[in-house]
Amino acid sequence: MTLSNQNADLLLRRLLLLKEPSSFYVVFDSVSQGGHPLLDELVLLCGKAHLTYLSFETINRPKYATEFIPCLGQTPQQIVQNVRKQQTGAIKLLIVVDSLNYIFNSQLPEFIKGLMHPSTVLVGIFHTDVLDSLDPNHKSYPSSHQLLQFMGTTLFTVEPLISDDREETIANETAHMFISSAPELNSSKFRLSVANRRKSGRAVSYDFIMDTKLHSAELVKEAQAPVEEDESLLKDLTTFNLTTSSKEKLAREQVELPFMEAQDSLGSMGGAIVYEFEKDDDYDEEDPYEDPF
Amino acid sequence: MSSGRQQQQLVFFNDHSIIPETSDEDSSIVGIISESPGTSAAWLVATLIENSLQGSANHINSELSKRRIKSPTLFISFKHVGDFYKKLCKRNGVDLATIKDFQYVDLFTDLFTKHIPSGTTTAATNKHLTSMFDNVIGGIKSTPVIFVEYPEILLTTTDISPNELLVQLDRLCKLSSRTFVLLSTDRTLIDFSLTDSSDPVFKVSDFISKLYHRSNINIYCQPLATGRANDLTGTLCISRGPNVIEPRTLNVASRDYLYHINRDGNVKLYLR
Repeated sequence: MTLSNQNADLLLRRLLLLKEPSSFYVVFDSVSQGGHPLLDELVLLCGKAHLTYLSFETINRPKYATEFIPCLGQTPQQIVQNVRKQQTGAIKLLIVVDSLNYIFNSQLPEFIKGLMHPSTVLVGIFHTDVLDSLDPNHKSYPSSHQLLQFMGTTLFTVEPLISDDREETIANETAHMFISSAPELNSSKFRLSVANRRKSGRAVSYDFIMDTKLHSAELVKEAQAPVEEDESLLKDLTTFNLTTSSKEKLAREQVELPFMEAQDSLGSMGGAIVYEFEKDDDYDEEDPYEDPF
Repeated sequence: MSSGRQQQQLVFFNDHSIIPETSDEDSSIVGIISESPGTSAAWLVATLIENSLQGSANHINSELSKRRIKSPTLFISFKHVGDFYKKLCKRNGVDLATIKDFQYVDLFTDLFTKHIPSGTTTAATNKHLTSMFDNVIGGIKSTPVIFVEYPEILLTTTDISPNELLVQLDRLCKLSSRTFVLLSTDRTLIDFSLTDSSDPVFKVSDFISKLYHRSNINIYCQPLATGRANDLTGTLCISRGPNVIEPRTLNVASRDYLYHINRDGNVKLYLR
């Protein structure tokens, strides 16, 4: 979808300020580019919200967290019960889950539903390079990644900002054990893809280059492939001349096409079917089937 | 190959430190040191022990300003007996036997005789492992630098799940501001296409990928990609982990080194 730059910037800002009616944000990240810098940016902008941090892998309580709940080793039901005590409805609550990878895929919808509340915005990080927690009893169930793509109302995907010529080298280095000393990895400047779904079902998506040190986001415009004229494809193809000269092109454009001419004279009748007699038409007034008009 | 290259001093962070000093009690650093089969990072681990206990790194960073705070150090190993690192550290001028602040816990030697007796059921195994970590944690008196060597061995030899092992590691990390986990990166034990969670390869892959998402710094020791060389032993890659470090002014100095260990065990580092 093509909208102006201003709309894209405004949408991102409103999303980070939690002013858009979007209740479930999912951040897809990887070891090459973690989601925490984006989370920090969101927390910095939304400021005053009461923040409950559900920790599966964060050791120390972040300074911005109002409540910090260690969740590793707890069942989804226990976690939801703990959170529900805080959902009074009076204050706006921001719940951050530092990793959704620890919940079985079959339990994920119930877990998300349990945390949702009209006064709550839920932000969850999902690591795309961690093996999926598949429930052995529900083998045909969709993967957690697919479920979150379906359930999330705003999807953020963070990726390192790697130039095309270095992409293959770094991908080879990180493919096995995630490790590369490339300075682009886990940087404060990264590529951010945003997909936002409205209640109407309309979805918009944009790509940004985000710099969390400068607190700026620059919209990435997709480079349009240069339109190659069909005639250039025919060049040097055969010894025959298959191209048209500029004079021939001009003459072709000036040809009045028959249906255009017909529209000029008959289009004025407002859609009625008009039959015009021609000189060779044989019209018999006594023939009942000749002309219904 | 190394002739003509200038020898470098090893640093992990932009404050020119190897193990940064603890300044904020609410901040903790998790580092992962991984080694390829056929390459040993023991020389690096010995240096980290020295740096933790004494603040120096005599062989690989002579310019390192000595730390003001000397940290007690706890080494938990599922691979080596205590004498292994005692010998290595002695080369660096550190006598572990006489340092009271150093504690070595060998959990491997008695793992299947004392800690998990043979014939133990799955449920009982987890209880035994929890109790084993309880004993280790109970012995910690002050905030130490903790090293855990090869904990993933528990995934292939017992019924413990990756998440249960991470719970135990989290308990240790909470007691320390600097934790280093040593791993093996055996390619035959890592496969990210598996779906069977009871498969030991799945368990190890799951554990390692989740552990990497907790890390602040990753150090990878591997052989030369081009094969063997007389004057180079391997490469050392230092990279940022996905977790942010507090304080934010502290950053990982990402870079690649080439290193050479000579017959006397001395290590020389060169920038790649």
